[in-house]
Amino acid sequence: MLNPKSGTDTINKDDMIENIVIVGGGTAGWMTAAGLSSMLGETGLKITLIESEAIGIVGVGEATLPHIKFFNDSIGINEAEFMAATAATFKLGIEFVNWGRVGDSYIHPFGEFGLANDGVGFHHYWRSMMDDEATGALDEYSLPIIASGMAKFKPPSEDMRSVHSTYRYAYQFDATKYAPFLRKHGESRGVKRIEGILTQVHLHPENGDITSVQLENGDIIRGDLFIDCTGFRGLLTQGALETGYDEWTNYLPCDRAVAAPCSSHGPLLPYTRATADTAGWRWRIPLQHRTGNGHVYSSQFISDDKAQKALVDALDGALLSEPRFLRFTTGKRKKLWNRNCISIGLSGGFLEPLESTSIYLIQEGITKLLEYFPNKNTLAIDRDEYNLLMDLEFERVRDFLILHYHATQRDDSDFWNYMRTMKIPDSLSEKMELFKARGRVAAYDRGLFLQPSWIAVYLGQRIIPNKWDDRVALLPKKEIKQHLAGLKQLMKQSAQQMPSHADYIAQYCPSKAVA
Amino acid sequence: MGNSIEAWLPAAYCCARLPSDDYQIILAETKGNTGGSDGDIVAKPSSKNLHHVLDIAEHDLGSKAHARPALAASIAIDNGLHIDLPFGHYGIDREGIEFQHLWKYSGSQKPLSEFNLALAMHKASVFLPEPPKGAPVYNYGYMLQEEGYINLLKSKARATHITADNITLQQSNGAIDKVICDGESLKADLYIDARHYNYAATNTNVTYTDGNAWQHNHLRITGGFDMLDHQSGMRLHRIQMAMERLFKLWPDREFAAVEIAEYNRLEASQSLHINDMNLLLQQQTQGCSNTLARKIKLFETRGRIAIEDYEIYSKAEWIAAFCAMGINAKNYDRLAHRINSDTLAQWIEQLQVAITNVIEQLSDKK
Repeated sequence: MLNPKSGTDTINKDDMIENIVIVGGGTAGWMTAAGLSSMLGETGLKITLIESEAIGIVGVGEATLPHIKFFNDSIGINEAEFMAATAATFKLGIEFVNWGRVGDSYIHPFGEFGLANDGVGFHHYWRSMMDDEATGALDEYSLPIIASGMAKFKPPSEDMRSVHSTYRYAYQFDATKYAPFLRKHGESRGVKRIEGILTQVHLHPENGDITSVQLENGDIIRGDLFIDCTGFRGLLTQGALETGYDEWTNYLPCDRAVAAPCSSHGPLLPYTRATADTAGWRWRIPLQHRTGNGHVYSSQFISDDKAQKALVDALDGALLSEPRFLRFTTGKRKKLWNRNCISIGLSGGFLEPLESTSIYLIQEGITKLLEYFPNKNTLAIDRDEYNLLMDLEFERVRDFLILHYHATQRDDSDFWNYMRTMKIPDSLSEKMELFKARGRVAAYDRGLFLQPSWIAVYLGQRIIPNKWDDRVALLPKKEIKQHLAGLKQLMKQSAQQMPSHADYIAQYCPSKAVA
Repeated sequence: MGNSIEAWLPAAYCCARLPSDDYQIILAETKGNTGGSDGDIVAKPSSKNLHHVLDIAEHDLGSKAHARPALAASIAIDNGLHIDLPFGHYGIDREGIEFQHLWKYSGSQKPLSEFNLALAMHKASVFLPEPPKGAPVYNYGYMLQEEGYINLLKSKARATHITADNITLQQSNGAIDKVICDGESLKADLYIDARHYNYAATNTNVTYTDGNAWQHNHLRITGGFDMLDHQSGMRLHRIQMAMERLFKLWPDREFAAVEIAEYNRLEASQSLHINDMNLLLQQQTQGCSNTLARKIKLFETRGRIAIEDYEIYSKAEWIAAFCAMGINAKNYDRLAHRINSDTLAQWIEQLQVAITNVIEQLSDKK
């Protein structure tokens, strides 16, 4: 019984997934193709991607989270080449304007606040001194926030003793250029691209699995596993498999967006801005060659015309193209992996772009697919685990997004009155109560947003803990004050020494689009 | 309240983390019930963090608690068999692929356990503080002599110390008002009840329920409930984790219900993991929790280890337990095919030879 030998079995050839068919190009399709071909291409897996130039891509997710660097690195993408090709800029966080109250502003940074002391989080010390004018805002103790304010950037240091090791970064890029960039990468690793429009999905008469898809020209493409990257339409998962959708519109009622690029204006900022409006919010994403803008709103509370006008009026550069409208329903597929079809990207769900989670959720879908890559005979077990983990991922992101809307004192519109007073999931209200009591953040070691992110949004949106950790009182106030002053000074000086974001980009990864 | 490690470790921990000018710690030591171990306790590698907090140096553990390095926890199961849960990895992962998949794919005739250097050293009773370069990694814990360890903890606990034959808790509205120790009244802000082996005998009117280790102003600390906890190193680890949780959620006299709920949530999650492992080791998997059933299914299918939030056991410990219980992976991760099979077979063989050589060299020097 003890210590069995491995045996000489290898995976039975008949059980192996040999053909994967990805339906839909765009960011989700080509990220999936690039990820799978990089990791499994050498194992004999054949990957076919079907897309049509006649069908536009949504091109969501111009702003990203730091995890994307890991994805790009793991599939061997050269950062400077990628940034130049997609006119990308660096991103140190997201600025939230007018969320707690009109006139408020804070940044959710990709990094830590201050330094913990003997197990007591920095924000407890800050909270104990926040009424002292010299203490200043919590933002003054975060290097990525200060650098953002100065439009500076420098890659983080690997030396853990350095204050420059306290942050990470993401990218802001032209999503319409990311997919073509990845296409080259995928095709060089054997991904077969087929130009065509899907007309029919064939199901197995007994088990209901997808056996093949048929194109407009009559070609039939067979596969063992199908990835639905057809966007909101979900042609495979919904159109053929009728998987169903869990709507979260009661928590996240924004259901439309209007997007419009404008010319660049002002310093090149290393952060995305999300400005709360009367029935939603507006994004501003600075790229090398232009600024991406959009207005996410709830059609229950504002008309399309008014939403467009609010967006165009707020542009800080010249409008470059006609505004484009998108419709969506917040939520997720009941089963992200149903039968032999996995929904990645918008076909799987959409939680609106407030915290730049769209591309992250695509990446997680790919990573987990690789982790639980099935054989034909283990598909059900791998599928169950995948769905369990992805559901958890979506729900934790959902709670974090709801927090932004719910933790507000705004009462200047019907939209904000609804958001402020709506019933929220228990999983979120428990977290909020814990923080209100004494600044504790509910502990999870999985999920996208960890302690510093929650602290940034709680405090940024005026959820100020009633109390703080008692052990703060063990240090004399004078000592805390000196420590805070020293830290603030260190952060400021460190940020000042960084090059400007624009200069760094010009040196490292200039885009031809700018020239 | 209590005795043995269950009481002295929290006392020493509180003394280390709280300044004596601001906090008074009283230990009401009960008699008997020394904790149920056979005189030795297993300290997992994570105990090094604990000893750092307690300012206990390794040489003190050696001289006062007769510490011997441990590279695995040996657990006796039925029929005279025993299982070793290793404190080190199986083989070496390559290109992000876990070793058990590579081993399975390679078709190696050597048992998986032979690729775990910690296990091999444990079996051969040899030791190196750090693995040689390029060998499977491990971290060592200790076997500690319980009495010496308790004395060491006592030396670190600047607690006011009383002994009591009989302790009674008096409570109102769920909170403890005072403790009566042999007729003498004792009042405190926070009560830590470490008398877990004699709950029934205390005849108190306080009822603890599962998952509610902390209620109002009293916190139950337990090192475990049976021999499995002792042998697997969970006794010390449970107490360590309880103290770390308490200090992350350090209360004031108002005892916020939300903080208590958070502590209990984490405690319940940890208990679930421990129960799952214990059920597996006792081969009582029929009708087990969903988490254990899922773990077994995933491992059996393809050698994957499902890891939960705040997982308490390492992947290697789960693999050892599954294999020992005859639950073997039928297949492996497809990613293993990324590595050329001949290259892999050669590398696996070299790895096994390297491990054997380490053991032989150390054995020669014994």
